[in-house]
Amino acid sequence: MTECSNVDVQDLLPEFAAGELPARERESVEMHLASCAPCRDELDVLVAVLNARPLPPVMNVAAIVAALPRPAVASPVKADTPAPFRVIAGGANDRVPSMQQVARARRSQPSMFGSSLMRFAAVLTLVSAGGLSVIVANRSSTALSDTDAASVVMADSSYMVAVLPEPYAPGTTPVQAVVSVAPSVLPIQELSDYSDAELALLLERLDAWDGAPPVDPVNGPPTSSPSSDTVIQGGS
Amino acid sequence: MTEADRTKDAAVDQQLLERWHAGDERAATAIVERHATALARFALSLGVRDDLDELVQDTFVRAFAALDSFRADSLLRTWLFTIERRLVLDRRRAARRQPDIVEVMPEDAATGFHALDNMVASETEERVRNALTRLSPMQRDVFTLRVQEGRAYKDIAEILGTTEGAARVHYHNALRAVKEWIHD
Repeated sequence: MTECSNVDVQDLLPEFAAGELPARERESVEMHLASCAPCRDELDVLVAVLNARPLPPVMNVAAIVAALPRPAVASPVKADTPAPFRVIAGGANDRVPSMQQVARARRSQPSMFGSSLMRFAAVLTLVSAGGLSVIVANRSSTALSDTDAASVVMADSSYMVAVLPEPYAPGTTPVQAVVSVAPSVLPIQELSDYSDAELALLLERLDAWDGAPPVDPVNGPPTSSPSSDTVIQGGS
Repeated sequence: MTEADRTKDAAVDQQLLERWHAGDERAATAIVERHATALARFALSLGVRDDLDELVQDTFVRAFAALDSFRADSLLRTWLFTIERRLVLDRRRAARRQPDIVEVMPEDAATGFHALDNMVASETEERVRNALTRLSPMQRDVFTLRVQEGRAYKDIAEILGTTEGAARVHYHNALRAVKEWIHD
């Protein structure tokens, strides 16, 4: 059997066998096949090879995706993002954490008791080392970001410890500052986000709460304003 | 694969890759769904029988870790095939260094079927598979990529590290040989 010399049609035969040719090219090939026995023979072989194509097992797409490296996102986390990963100084966190990273970080967070101990130990160590100014600030404070000389040496989900470099300005005294934020402005998140003192206050108010719906167990009962039937006593 | 299909495929993959770079992790799922089956089938045609899932996963992991080196003038699937083939060759080299591990021989390629599959396969399919095993490795890779995966000669040349002209010659020699062996 002589071979066909129409290279253009021969090039299209694999796609024709797979049914992937556009209509115009498909009609052109069909017209050629009607009069070309070698190409029909070749097409039969290609169809047989295509039908013998191995059937792979179904791939576990989720497992593959889970193993992939995360994308390196250039855009930084916005400063007003209330995520527990935001640091004010240092710039080590320039990637958006994935949900898995968030979950891992949450699991690895120390317990409240352990966290308090760590904070206390860190402050004690730095103060005893002498010559250092220690600032313990609640993470919702933005004052540290404006303190150019401060560098964050330790951060967890609730507090940061910052160290001011030496030498100090003449006439200044190293000071340990504790910046607290009123419970009313704290974002409601997890219990671990509250300090021991805040939790103690919360429990105290819960114990004192009589179950009346209008009373906020966190912020306490609303301050009663004088009304027309309130008798104001006292005064001289 | 026609030129129009090539262009469309490239555009879709490019869009997904841009979404991935922008941090959209769902784009990774779409990319894996588009190419995982073809990668698994290509691995079978290369003679891989064990740890197919692992091979496909490794291919994607390697690719995503090196996406910066992916050239836009290449198709993503072509690039993935190239990576997968290199991984298969690496595994074969490693297997040769470990005599306890059964080496995958070129004669095993292009089948990827278990005995039960062979029993139920039609006689023609069996003949085709036997014919493919008789081809040289290069002929078989070119032929399966062209017929079973629909790759263009340009892509085949890139995957196999050869020229487009050489790929054409291998294809026509393979076709002639398979035709002859099927009709034996």
